[in-house]
Amino acid sequence: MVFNSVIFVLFFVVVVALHYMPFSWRIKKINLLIASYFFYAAWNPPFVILLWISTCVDWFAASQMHKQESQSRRKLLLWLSLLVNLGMLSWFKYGTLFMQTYADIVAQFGFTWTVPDFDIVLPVGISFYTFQTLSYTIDVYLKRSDPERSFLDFALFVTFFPQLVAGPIVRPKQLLPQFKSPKRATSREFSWGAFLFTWGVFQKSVLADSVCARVSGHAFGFQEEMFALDAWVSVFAFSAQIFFDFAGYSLCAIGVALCLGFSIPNNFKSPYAAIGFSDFWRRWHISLSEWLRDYLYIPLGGNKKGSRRTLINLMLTMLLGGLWHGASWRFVVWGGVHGLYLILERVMRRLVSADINWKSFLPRVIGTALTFTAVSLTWVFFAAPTWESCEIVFRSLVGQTTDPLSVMRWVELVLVLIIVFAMLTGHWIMRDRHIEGVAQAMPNWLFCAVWVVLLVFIILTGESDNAFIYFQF
Amino acid sequence: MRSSTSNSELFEKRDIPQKPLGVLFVLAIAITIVGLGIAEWQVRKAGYVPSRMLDLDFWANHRFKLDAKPEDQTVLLGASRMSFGLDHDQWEESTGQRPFNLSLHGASFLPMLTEYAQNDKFKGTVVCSYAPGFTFANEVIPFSERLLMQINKLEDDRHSLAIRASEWTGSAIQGNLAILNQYVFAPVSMSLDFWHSEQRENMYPPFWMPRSFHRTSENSDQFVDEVIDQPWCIEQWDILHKSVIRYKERFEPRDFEKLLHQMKQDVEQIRNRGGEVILVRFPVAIWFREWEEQHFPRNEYWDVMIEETGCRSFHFLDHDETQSIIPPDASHMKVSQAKQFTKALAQFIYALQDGQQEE
Repeated sequence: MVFNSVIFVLFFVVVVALHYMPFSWRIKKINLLIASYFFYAAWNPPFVILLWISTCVDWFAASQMHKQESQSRRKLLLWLSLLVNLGMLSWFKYGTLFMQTYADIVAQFGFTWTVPDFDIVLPVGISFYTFQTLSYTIDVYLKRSDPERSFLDFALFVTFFPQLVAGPIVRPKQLLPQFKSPKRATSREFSWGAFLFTWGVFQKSVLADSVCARVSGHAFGFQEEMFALDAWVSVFAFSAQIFFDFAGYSLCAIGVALCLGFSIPNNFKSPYAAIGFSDFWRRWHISLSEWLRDYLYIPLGGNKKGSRRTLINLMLTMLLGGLWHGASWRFVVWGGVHGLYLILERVMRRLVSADINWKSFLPRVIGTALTFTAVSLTWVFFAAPTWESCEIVFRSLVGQTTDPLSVMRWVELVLVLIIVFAMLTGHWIMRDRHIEGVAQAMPNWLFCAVWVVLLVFIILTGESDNAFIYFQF
Repeated sequence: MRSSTSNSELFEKRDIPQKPLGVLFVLAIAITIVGLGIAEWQVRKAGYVPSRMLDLDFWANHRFKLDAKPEDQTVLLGASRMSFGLDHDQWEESTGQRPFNLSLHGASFLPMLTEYAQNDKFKGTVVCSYAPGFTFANEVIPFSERLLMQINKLEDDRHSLAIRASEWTGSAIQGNLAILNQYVFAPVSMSLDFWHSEQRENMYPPFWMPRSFHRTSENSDQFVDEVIDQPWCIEQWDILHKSVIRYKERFEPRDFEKLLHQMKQDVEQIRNRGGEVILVRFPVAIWFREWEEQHFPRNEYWDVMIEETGCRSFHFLDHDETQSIIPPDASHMKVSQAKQFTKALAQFIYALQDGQQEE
């Protein structure tokens, strides 16, 4: 079930109605849990079993871990959780990639091994909920937190439908305490949640799907040389598309949760206004960046084991972060390039004068433009369906073509540029602001008019065939 | 003002703008409903009718409906020429039976025919629209690939509540509100179509369905005559068709011999159950016809297919009533043309069938 569908709206109306009925808090939580399973099962019922496996194994592992004095047994239980969760992730998400890679490698030595056709279907959002539930067992193992006493609360933490399939990846301490006491949104909270949901769906349906996806999908998918202008516009179109798609989903999740009285952390903070790459990763998919930092980078030693090891840790984290995004080596390269950016940034920091005031206009413009351009170019590995397509796009970008094509009409080109420019301006203005502040400063009539325009555009644009990009992760 | 946390440690309650948000919410919803209500009234007055949206969920749900139809149900397979070109009302008037349309824009009828043949229940007449550029398109081309993918996941979709529910909501909402016809009123499409722009050098733009038609709940398409007659609309269709052709030219057509072999098997299987397969060549005109005749000469493809499979066939050029039909966009017929064509086709099929029975 996707947020930008009529069936979700109907589903949500029922969930809200039940949530605001005079039932006990326990009954309401059971309602939410059933609704969450229903939400997931609506796509493919058998895969709910995976959620149950994750829930039961991690519940058992964490509660036993807490009882155990022996460190080796605690470690064994942690391994159990890691094996089950990462095992499911590896099989469903990376099984085909690993087998194909193995077949390619043995072929280099003259052996033939045909990849068995297991017809593996990727369960929606598996990367998100496995990371979320892993953070729970790891926290208990590291004694950062006690295991949850209520199985119902824990099951709801793993399954909570607003952020189940595409994040934000919520930590136990961010969500579990919210299940302890009855939650209901005030009329202002509910309405604000509805506004965030509207704004999120608008970003997804109208901006991402209706315009950007059409242009970028065409340019990346058809694998032919194009004019440099078209290539640049297509790359920027994808930058806009992936932002609106994913940030739109996160906003929907935050809005939906808020309507029910729950608070979910922000996942994006004007990322294309970032000055530098570490700043970018503090603003893009924040919940994943923080997860990787806390459960991978720091356990690897972080920056505590000397400068060379720090750089290696950075690179490893980004490579694995890249792989998390998809079962293709292009995602690993994408992560690796971001790792390189972060390493270069660290080196540059030592070379460039510390006196530069990045808040003054010119340095900020230069820093933002360079970061956005580099990030956009790196999206090519993300967007292109094949290595050949990557190569063609990069050649087209620098004009190394023999018979280039125009891959969009002027009207599409101008529309994409307007949207990209508006997005960058918005991020620039919002760099240190929040949407709540902007809404606060807006006259009521204007706020209402904006809301109406968003609703009308969403309704007239309708549903689309395109699921959220991040569902595949 | 502080927003909610992005810090990983603890949860913080979100700040909410100090505004009468509840009132604004109700007002926004009310204005939207009233505004769209007025718009609905206006577009109905202008002659527009509700339209379903063409997507794979719609197609899958439509396919499931076939399971409940009588076993001798007449089924239509093919791409958009079938969905625009066969008028259901006219067919029913001519034959007494309402056809079931399983066509899908841009798709080859061949995988559909195989799927039909593999289901022992179906024993009806299958009318297949032959459009060579699509029928023999390489299977890696997205238009071809998406049908194969959809057929492969039909069984999964059958159990997917989200897919099933999209039919209920689509039929209840899209099926009743003309203003929700995305092929005419989607804001971005409208702005793109109205903002005419000159051709660019060596152009190969995204595939963009010009906003000019509506789709019935029976999976057929009908041009809005006032719109399709506009020069800008013809131009947009022309750009679309040329882009599609250009795309196809990048790929070798599929192995004709292999396809023919599979088709013969499918036809035989259907025939053995008492069904029949009929091949139809819908009208195509101007440059599009030239392109198809050049790349898929009739004597090398159509004639061979008829001879090898032994199917009855209807080629628009072979009949006085249909040979002069010129679709407005070169490839798809207007409603009046579709009625004319359907009448001729139905008469041909059933007259011949009666004749055969008499013999």
